[in-house]
Amino acid sequence: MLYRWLESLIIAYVALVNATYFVLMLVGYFALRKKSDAFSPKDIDVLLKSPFVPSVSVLAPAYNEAATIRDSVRSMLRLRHPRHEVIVINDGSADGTLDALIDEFRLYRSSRVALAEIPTAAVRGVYESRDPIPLVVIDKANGGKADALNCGINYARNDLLAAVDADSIIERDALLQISRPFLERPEDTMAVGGIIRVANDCVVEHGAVVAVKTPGNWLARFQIVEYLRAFLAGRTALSFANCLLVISGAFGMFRRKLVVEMGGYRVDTMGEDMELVIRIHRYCRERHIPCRVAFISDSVCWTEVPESRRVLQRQRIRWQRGCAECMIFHKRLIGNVRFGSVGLLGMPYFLICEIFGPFVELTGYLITAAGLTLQWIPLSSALLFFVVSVLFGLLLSVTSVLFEELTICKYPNPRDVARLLLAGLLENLGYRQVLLLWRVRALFQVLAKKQRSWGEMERRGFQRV
Amino acid sequence: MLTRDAREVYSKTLAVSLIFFLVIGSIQHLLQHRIHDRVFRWATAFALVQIIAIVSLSLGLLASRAWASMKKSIDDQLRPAIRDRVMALAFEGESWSSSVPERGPARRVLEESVAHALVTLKPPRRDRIAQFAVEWKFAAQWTEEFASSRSKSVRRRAISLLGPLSPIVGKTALSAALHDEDPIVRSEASRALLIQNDHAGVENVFRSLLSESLLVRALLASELKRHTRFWLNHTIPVLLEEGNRLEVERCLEMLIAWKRALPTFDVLPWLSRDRDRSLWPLLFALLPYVAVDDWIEDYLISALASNHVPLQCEAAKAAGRLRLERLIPALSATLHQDRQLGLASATAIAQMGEHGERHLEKIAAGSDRRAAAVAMEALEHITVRV
Repeated sequence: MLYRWLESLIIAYVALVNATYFVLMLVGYFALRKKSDAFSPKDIDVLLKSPFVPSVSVLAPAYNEAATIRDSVRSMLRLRHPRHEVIVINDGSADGTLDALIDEFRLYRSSRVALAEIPTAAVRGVYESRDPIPLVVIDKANGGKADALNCGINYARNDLLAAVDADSIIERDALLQISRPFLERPEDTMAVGGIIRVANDCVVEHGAVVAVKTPGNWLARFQIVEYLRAFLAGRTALSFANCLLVISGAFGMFRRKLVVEMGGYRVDTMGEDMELVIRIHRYCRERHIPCRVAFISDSVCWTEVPESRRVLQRQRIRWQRGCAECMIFHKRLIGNVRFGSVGLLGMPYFLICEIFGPFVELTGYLITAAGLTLQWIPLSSALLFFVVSVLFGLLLSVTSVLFEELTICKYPNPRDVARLLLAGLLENLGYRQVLLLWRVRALFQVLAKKQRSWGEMERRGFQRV
Repeated sequence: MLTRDAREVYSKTLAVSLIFFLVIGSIQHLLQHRIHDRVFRWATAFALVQIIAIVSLSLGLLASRAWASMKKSIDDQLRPAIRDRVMALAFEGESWSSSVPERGPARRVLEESVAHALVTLKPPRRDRIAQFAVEWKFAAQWTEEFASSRSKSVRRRAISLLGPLSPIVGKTALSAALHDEDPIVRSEASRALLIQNDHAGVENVFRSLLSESLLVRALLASELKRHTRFWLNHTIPVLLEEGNRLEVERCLEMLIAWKRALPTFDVLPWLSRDRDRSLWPLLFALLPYVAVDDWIEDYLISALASNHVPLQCEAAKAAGRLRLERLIPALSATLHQDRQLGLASATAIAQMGEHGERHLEKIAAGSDRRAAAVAMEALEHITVRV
């Protein structure tokens, strides 16, 4: 009896979650068709001379990045924007990151004053370039990514803040493209997220991706499909309903004044990027400030994703823990009418699909296995449900690849598209189940209040010309 | 309240979801006699619909790719010869001897080459292409595309091509485009109207621009600059007197953005009216470009003594740009206040030559750490940058 009841509950849950994903996919598709096109090269040339484009401070926290930091900073300085400054925050690196920057960019110890006073780990020095380049380097004691970003916010001077990962590649016009919502709706746009694309095996020349290829590594291929699904379907739909709760830490833009007023990033969570976005929604809605958090699919940031199981596991555990911590911090918003679409759609979506999802899915697998062993359910039924679930995953993946074709269409070779479709099929047979176990493990870590640790990201480096 | 776009997206989502559900329902109904277990039957129907969807989407995706690449290779073969002929028409005035294709790949490549020539060439070469475009119904095609297409990019392209043709085909489409829902289409139309140099059109664009989004103003700011004198003499005086507060603010912002000398613009009446005090930050930002006298110092001192940081900052910047040494004490009094204000004041003092520098050096060596920090930064900018 209990078994039947549990089985029905799980089937109902799966139906609800699948219906949610299906609706998100459809909203994402129609919203993508409605969205404004990217700025044309002609518009960009005009905007580069325009005094009305809000100025941007690009914040790039760096920890032990001596090998790549010169190229990264050069690439950030080359971004096309009428008024942008680059602030690199050396977060207590021990590998000579600061020395590399001092040598390369002729830095001197400057007296730049911090305009905001968000508490951070001790600042050891601020450096600026003797050359006429808008570069500021802050050397501080190690305090983690959020702390480094807060330090950068203190020293930023411009209207907008762009938080980026120092080891990612931002497309040259991405800073202007991501500014678009701030120009279109300056009265209520508070934050904008760009799209993160997988750069593994892509060819990089002078800090720009010049040839896009699908990577040889299957883990990386699965992640391409995952990223497409998450960004082009999920985030587009959630942003359309103004309940986008995540802006990737690798590339997002925020209003400086608002972030300073809110006290910057929270340092006691692994999901500082998600927490900031939820807090923006919460802060604005509590004070009746019009607030919109947008997502722009034309603003591209390329990043290297993990190709080893160990690093991927650490990353996913970190993400899941971050998400769970955000739900705990802001539990008051869940189902709360006062917070509009965020309280009624965004937060419940994350709670049901991202937090409860792994537990329910794992329970489903376990009771199916138990049912088969004890012969409570026939093999044909178990197989059918498995096939339905794989097919649904595949349908979402195929649609995401289709979205890619409809929007930025970065894979010129049809063979790459075929590979992505294959990856969409195969990810349901093993990869998804392994991710599920890691996510459950992360949730147990949150419940057990296990200490946080970021761990190292092993990078292969971009394939350069 | 949902916007029009939101209503459209949600209703389409609902419609497709219903169709999807109905198809699954119908299939499970057909399976009624074969599969007796209800859950099992629904799951089978769901699986079948998913298979159909996946197969059709995947095949559609790959077929559209193959079709696009085939089309591209045909176009690539045709393009060099057609583009050369279009350029010969533009540069040497050669007549188009053969007939112009009505449809097919040749027509498509010709349309693309004509469009390319229209946006890249300058008169008189462009005029020849414009004549050709009108004669061979490309203009009619673009007008139709603008009027009927729901795609923003199609409308945008059509209007940018109709701009250079407007002396021949008229401004009806351009005027209609000023009310398009897409800001880029509106800015393209405004730009095309501004190029015509027709006074009524130019005035119309300027006035409508003041209620436009920041994006459109950003896209048109430099284009509008060419007409500063006309606006200063005709539109702006009327607007500043009669316009609403938002329009006046946007007009002042535009004047600041142009960074042009405005010798005839008098800020005194604005500063002296108490009801216009909210405009002071903008008026101060305008100071380097307008003629002012000693009276301005009193206004700046009064602004620096206020408790409104944005106003104080603008007053400090204006004092620095005008190098008003008499304001050094008033500026110094703000150094220990808000960091941004302190920095603006210190920078202003630094701009006042040797006297200002000496003053800052004293503050930097003083005991007020907050004031010393901003003084140090301002001094450093003089020494290091030099």
